[in-house]
Amino acid sequence: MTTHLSLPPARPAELLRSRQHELDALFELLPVPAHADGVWRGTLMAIRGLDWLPRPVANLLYRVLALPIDPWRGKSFADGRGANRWFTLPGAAFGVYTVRVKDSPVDGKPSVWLDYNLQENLAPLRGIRGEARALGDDLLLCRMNWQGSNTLHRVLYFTLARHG
Amino acid sequence: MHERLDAIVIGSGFGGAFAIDHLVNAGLRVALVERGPWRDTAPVRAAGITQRSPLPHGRHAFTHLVRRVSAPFLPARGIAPHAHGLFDLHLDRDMSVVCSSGVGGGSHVYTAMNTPPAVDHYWDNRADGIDAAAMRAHCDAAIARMGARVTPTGGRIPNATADRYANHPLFSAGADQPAMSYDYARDAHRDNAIFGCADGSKTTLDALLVAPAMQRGLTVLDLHEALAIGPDNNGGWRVTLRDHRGGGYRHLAAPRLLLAAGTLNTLRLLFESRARGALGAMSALGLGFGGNGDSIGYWACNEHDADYSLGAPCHGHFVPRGVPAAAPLMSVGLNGIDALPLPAALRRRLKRDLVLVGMGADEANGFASCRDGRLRFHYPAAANPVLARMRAAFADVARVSGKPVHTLARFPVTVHPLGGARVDDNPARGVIDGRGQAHGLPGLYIVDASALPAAPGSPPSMSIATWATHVAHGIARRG
Repeated sequence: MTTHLSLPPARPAELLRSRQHELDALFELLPVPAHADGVWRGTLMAIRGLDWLPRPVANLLYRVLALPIDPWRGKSFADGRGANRWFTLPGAAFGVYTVRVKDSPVDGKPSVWLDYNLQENLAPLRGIRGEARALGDDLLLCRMNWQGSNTLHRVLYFTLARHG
Repeated sequence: MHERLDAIVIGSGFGGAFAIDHLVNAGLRVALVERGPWRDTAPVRAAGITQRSPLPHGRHAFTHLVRRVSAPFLPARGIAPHAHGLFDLHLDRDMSVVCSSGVGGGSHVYTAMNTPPAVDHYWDNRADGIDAAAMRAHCDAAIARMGARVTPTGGRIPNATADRYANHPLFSAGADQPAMSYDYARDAHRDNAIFGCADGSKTTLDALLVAPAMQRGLTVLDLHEALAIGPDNNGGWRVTLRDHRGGGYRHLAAPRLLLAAGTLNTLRLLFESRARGALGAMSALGLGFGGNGDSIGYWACNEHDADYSLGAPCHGHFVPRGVPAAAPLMSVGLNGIDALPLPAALRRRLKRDLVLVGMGADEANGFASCRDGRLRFHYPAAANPVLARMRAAFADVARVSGKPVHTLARFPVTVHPLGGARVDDNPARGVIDGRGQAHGLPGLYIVDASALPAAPGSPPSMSIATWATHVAHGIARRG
């Protein structure tokens, strides 16, 4: 008797239809990933200001953004640092960050914290603060925040699926 | 939205309802998640539930009969005509499955038979932590709770086999009639079986267990479908839900998660969550699947002046006279036919025929698989002799009566799918241990028919209730 036991990690399609507050609730429940080093393929979703879009339209928009018309392809992590990857994977690196585990200032739970406040980055990028948690094996749910003068603003969510 | 909970129970059929009853009694804060709606029945109305959905009676048969259809020629998750529909139809080559949705689960569409396993010593030597004597006591308590009793004789209940075949030249009712959870004192005796019972004459779990538990603190999320499960940030379990009423998504977390969504949906949830990496290997998932020997025939007996649509949800057992060791068959009229919008002539004709249901302990030697989101059941019908025995019983009825019994012998159908996440001490053979907890996944429990270690050979409602009671008692005892 044979069972089909090895399946690739699926990306929950429901995430693309979710509102930002719904992903906030999910994100709060997720654990920190055991391993993040490597190259990851990204998919954007739940962009701030677009929650008014009907869910099917938002779903379609984020599926389109997952096509090569969006030059951002994902991220890479190695040895406490990381970079955004462009045009292909692993592709060109632009927009770097440090990586460490710390309690999220949003929900107080541990997350992988991506800090763009580095001299190598252009000034507009230095306000970005990313967070990543594990949605499954080889699948991360991430939140991009913007550090304002006093407040951390949630900007969007994205998933990272391990590449290769 | 993050509720503070001790346990989440997914599904409100016999596993979920009996589990929440015991957990809430033990003082746990429990949320019950049910993908279907509350059904509009007299006892639910009396319980003060305001948001109800009709049973598929009358014009509602066009809209509320089918919830989801899945088949090899359809998209992986099938098509879903209506989130408030009563039935899920899973069509497959080896084994097709029919199940229902709504608060109360299968108790809306069952034939009210609540009996212990037909297999002797069913719970003996299944796994560490299962005490066969305690399981018998749980089963007896569940049957008593359901108020099941044998149909009274004397001709007051229409079409009861004990009366109909008392002195019949061709058929005999036999002494061992099933106990049913049905109010025999009512007068109507109609529209109480597979399309639901609106007047409350059939005991259903929404009214008996779920609504009363709400008075003791239970939270019920009806029309919420569980899409994914996984470990959460605090060592417990999270559930991602689709809110079919509000249209959004919701996420719950609790230290304990009890799966009771029914075999079809529990297996789908486990397979899909495992594919996302949330459950580890769970290498025995899918093994031990079976259909409880369900065999269904349509006896075109066309009895003059008969109205077999009347009576209790099931008329009872019978066997042909003069056939040694014949398997007993259940006689079920097309009870509920009056609730369907059919031409009067067709309805009159259908009322003169009977549905025959055979059941027996199959080998539960099939398996379930899921690839690219498509759930499949693989079931070797030829390696399950009980099916041949049931076919022989149908043939005997046809021969003795001289009226045909039509079957779909090449396309087995079950309304009692079980196994696939069965109990076994060995993680290579079973998904859960004797406490009902998934091997290597503390806090994740399975309490529906997918957990059963073998086919009970009788309607499995009370075997499921027994198992759920056992698991819930253990959780309550351990705190």
